Amino acid sequence: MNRENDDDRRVDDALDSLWYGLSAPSEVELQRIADAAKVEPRSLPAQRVERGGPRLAWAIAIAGIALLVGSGLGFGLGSSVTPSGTAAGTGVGLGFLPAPGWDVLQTGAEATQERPVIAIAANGAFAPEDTARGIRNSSGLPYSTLMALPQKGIVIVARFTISGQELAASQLYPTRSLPLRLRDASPYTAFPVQVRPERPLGQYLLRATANGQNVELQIYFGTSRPSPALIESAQRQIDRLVISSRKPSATVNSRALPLQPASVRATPPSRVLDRTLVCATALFAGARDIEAKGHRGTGRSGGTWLRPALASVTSGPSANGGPQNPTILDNSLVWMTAGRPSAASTLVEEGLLSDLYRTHIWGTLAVNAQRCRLTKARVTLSPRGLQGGALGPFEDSFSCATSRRVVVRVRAVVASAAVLRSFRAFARTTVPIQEGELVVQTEAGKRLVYAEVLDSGRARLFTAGSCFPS
Amino acid sequence: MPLHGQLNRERVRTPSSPEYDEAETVRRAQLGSSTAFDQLVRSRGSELYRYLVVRLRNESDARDALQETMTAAWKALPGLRQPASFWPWLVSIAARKAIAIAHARIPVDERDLDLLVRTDESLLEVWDAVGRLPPIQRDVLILRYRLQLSERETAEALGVRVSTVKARSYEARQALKEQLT
Repeated sequence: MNRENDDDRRVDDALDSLWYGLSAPSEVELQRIADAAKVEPRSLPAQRVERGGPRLAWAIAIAGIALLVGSGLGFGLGSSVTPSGTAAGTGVGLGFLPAPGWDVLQTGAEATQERPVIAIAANGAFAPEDTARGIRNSSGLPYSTLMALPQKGIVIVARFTISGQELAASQLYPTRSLPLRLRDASPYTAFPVQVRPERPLGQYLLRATANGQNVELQIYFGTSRPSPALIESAQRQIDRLVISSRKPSATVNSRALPLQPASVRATPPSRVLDRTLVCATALFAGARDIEAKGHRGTGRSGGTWLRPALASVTSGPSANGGPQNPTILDNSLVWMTAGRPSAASTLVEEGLLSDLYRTHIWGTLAVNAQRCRLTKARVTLSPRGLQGGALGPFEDSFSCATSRRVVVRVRAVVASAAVLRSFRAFARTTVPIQEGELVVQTEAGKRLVYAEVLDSGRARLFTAGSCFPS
Repeated sequence: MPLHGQLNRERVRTPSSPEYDEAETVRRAQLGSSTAFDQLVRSRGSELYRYLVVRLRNESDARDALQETMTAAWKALPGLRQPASFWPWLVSIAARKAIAIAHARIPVDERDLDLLVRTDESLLEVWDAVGRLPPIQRDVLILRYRLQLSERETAEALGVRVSTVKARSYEARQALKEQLT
């Protein structure tokens, strides 16, 4: 018995020593984890969403009246032309398919830059003034409805314009896939400051380019602190946003084929991460370009680097974390660092927000999953034909004019088997890189950029002769 | 047999401040208090990270799993019905994240010495001995004796029966006894 107790004690002591011999995140790191977690929207609490017959019946009654009043006033009642309860993706046109209990007003015309298509959805009845005025000839904002919006009320205003018509303004509309996600929306008080200052509304803005259309969603909640149930209800209606203005094309096969095999196997972890991607470049001030930049590693302490060797490629205006660019890194197509970053290492060096972009959280290697997709294009990892050499401790950057898309190949040998996991807009790994290379070339095969980073801290950057220091 | 673990239970389960009421903090976090959630992450994050390190034996994976756990917890917290059972609930999320990450990778045999604050021989011996245990035994051992979950809570967190927890717990301790003597 004593022997058994001694053995048990030995096991417990061993576990104790192991437990307290393990490193643990600092308070600062834990705070960053908490901050990153809170970026995600909250899900529905345990209580059920209120839905009921009386409300639906009331909505139907109002809808009937509104249809009679509004049919001659230049707008259509969404529920009368699109079946409710149908998935958004099956609709044709621009607008909303109303979720159960929702009303929709929409112009239903083809979008032009001069006259955007406007669709408005509300989870209750529209004010009679708004339905009588019609939205085609108004400002597009159901002002009376918003002024009387109850605490659990929601109004979503969608404006559609054709993507590409607004040159620099197109930068405001990041490419997103449907259904749009409410969590990508930003608080919106710039216009018209606050619709109802005495009882502030929760105002949010979400812009996107999808299916060749720029869409701007203004989401208004009856309270400045919408509950998770209310938020989820708004998301359900956003799920029913229809953006399908392009007519069927004779070249449909070019968009459909070849279809990749429906393999469900995930990419296995590997010590070598090698991806070739085609990435959309951003239009800024009427021109498209990419910026290649990097520096060698500095601040080595023990086995870590305060500033690991870095190479990155961006396209588009430098973001500031505002509504149009939620994070400073959103214009990055790819970045890679080499060597183990220290806990204090950041990917952004300037500004008060740099601490938000820790390398070990955002990734030692990342590719922009929203602007890039895998391609089978063949890209040779070589600086042949390019000019450049070793990078110094300070960041060097070069701008290169491009077309709408560039082909990017990134190859990295990582310290342990890894996969690229989804994080924000990126697919990234946090495993330290031993050596990494990247090449950017045009779709026609003209090489623009070659970069290399090594865990020794060395970094090299080569660019085409047409690129210039920026 | 688990007397030592039982004695440690309150010490581990009660965060340092005597005024700290975790259930109340959870309630505040459920209502949307950002500060309360921060407090929960700070009070439970280190223990959870150690579990994930032992389970996954890789610093990067453990950090990813911890981040994913806390993100999932933030999102699902309003749906937690019993604030008092926050800790086993959080551990069960972490256990699922660890399983998912472990399934999606190739095992790495290298010792990641950065995981340890010291690298003396005795500690490495324990590290290796625990590493030789099958994952389910490692899970049970840590959840029962370090994270101080009951047998029922451990079973729920790992999605196994209580009898399995008892059996794996016994096997894990026996295996460690043999390896460490």
